Amino acid sequence: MAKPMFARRLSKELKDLAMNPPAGVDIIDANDFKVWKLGLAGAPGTLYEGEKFQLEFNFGPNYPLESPQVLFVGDNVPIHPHIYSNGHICLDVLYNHWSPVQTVASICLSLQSMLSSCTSKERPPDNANYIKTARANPKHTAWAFHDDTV
Amino acid sequence: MPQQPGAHKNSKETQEPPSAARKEDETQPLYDPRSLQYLEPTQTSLQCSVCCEYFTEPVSAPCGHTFCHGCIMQALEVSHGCPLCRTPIDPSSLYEVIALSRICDELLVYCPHKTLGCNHTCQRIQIGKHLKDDCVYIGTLCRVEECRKKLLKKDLSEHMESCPYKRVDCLMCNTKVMKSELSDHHKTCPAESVTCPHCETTRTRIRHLEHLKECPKQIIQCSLSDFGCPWKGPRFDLNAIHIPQCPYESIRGFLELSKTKMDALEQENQQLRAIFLDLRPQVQQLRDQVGQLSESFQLITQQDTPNGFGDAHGFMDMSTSGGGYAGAYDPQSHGMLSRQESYDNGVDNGDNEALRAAIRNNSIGADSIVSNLNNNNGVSVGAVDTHELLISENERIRSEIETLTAGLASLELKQNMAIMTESMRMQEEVQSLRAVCHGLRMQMHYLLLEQQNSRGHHGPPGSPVVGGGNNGSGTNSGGKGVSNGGGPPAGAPGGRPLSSIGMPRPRFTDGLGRQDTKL
Ligand SMILES: [Zn+2]
Ligand SMILES: [Zn+2]
Ligand SMILES: [Zn+2]
Ligand SMILES: [Zn+2]
Ligand SMILES: [Zn+2]
Ligand SMILES: [Zn+2]
Ligand SMILES: [Zn+2]
Repeated sequence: MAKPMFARRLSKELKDLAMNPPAGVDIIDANDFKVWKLGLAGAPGTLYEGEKFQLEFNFGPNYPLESPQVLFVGDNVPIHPHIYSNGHICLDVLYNHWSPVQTVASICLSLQSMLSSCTSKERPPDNANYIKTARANPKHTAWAFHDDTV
Repeated sequence: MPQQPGAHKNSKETQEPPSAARKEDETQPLYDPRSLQYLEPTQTSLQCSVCCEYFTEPVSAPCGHTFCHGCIMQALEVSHGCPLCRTPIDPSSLYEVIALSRICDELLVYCPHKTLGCNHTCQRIQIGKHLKDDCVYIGTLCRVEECRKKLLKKDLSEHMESCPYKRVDCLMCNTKVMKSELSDHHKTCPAESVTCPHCETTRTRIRHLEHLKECPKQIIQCSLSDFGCPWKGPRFDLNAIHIPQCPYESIRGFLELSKTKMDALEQENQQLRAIFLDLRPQVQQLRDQVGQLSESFQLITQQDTPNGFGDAHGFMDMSTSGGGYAGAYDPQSHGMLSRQESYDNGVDNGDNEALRAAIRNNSIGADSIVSNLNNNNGVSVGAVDTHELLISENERIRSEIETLTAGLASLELKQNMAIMTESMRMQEEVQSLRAVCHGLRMQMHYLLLEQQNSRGHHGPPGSPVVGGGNNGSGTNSGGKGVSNGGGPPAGAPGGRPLSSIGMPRPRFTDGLGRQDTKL
């Protein structure tokens, strides 16, 4: 017998997201509980003020026990030392520091704070190399989170 | 005080845990605790941070964080830390938070079947009982084994009224019958009362069947109707009135006897028919053989005639080379030949005709049997007619077979006759040839004697040639004498009187007869 699933959690999250969205976050597309597209606006007073980014969430059947697949999509991928030009994000809570108490909203907040704390808009030093070899799913990359301060 | 999860589970047995409810119907759990809808406004402090619902069986870890028991166990399978503070958690260190559990269990919830129409609300702890016992919007199955229709509990009683597979008691015979078959059952129910159509008395169907065998008013036929009695009337009248009057009753014994006889005859006829069918291919085979025989016989007789001529000619050649006298016998041999020819023809014609006639007879006989059988098969006849027909049929088949046998016998006889006459003719011919030879010999003898007599005036008187003829080898010397054309006879020792001249005749014939058979 399958374990009870968290069937209602995503619908609750969606309802919460629509009612009290975190600052700068809006729902672009969330027609099912598999793929969501969210808009993320650069916070005022940061290097990204006035920019609009698109985030894609892919939820597996084990969400929230397992992390969703999160990456930037679209024309504008933020230029950030932890964001590769293919949209992959080097953020520990998305991978081995995931916890089931994380939500879509909490991920958005983490990303906002990551962008806000940036001091110089540049690609990761190994960007050119990485995007040549990386798989489509960032969860398949073996991340090394050496730079926690940025 | 920390509690072992095992003990924790035991203590929950009284609170209708979902697992217990699941045992009721294993294919469909009564409800998913994470899907319950609460009447209260959301109070995040009472919610599990994993499932984002009010706590269900809340347990706390040593780090002080609280989750649903199910949620933390599932989370620990994936990652071994507290989902909130990442402190490693040993599952055995989780303990139940009883006060929180009570608070959450007392929250008011809607019945999970609200969408189906159940407006029931109650404390969460009561919802299992409601679903199990009270909720009529829960899915269930028709209890009848053959039906098993899926329906809501509230519709069950209505369905049971009309379930086509439901068993109902037949009020007449007290057996259980499917509701849908009840009306059919009434047509056959053994306890249903039935009115006899003949005497208009009423009884149960099971007794009615028995009654029909003895109903006094039922119209029945005379018990001898098989033998032709046309009487029909109520059963009551049969024994009372008809039987004493029935003309067939008086000859009942005879009728029954003849019936058994007829049955036996019919059986015999059946057997005969089988035998006949068995014989038919044999007759056909014989017919073919006779045809082949007659053909080969014709061939033989056609070849025989020229052969006879050749033989006769050979013989004539021999006789002409033997001496000029053969010419004198030509007419005789010609006559003989012509006679032989006519004989051959006569035998040929006669035999062939006889054969053909026999074949015709055979084929006609067989055909008539077949047609008779066919006629017989097609026609249905009355009892007496059948009897006569059977006898005549037997007679016919027997006579046909006899005709066939006789035809075959006569055929054999004719063939024997032909062979016999042929051999007789040959004998006659041999006889006549013997006679010719004898005549020739006599003539030669006569010539020799005459020669001797004419020489007798010059040679010694007591040396007649006849003496040589009297020797054992006399026949040979005689033959030589003919071929030599009257060479000088060997000197015979010891003269014999001429008076013995009449004696050699029978001896010559004897000798010639023996030699001819050797030829
Ligand atoms: Zn929970
Ligand atoms: Zn903790
Ligand atoms: Zn209900
Ligand atoms: Zn039913
Ligand atoms: Zn009945
Ligand atoms: Zn009756
Ligand atoms: Zn009668």
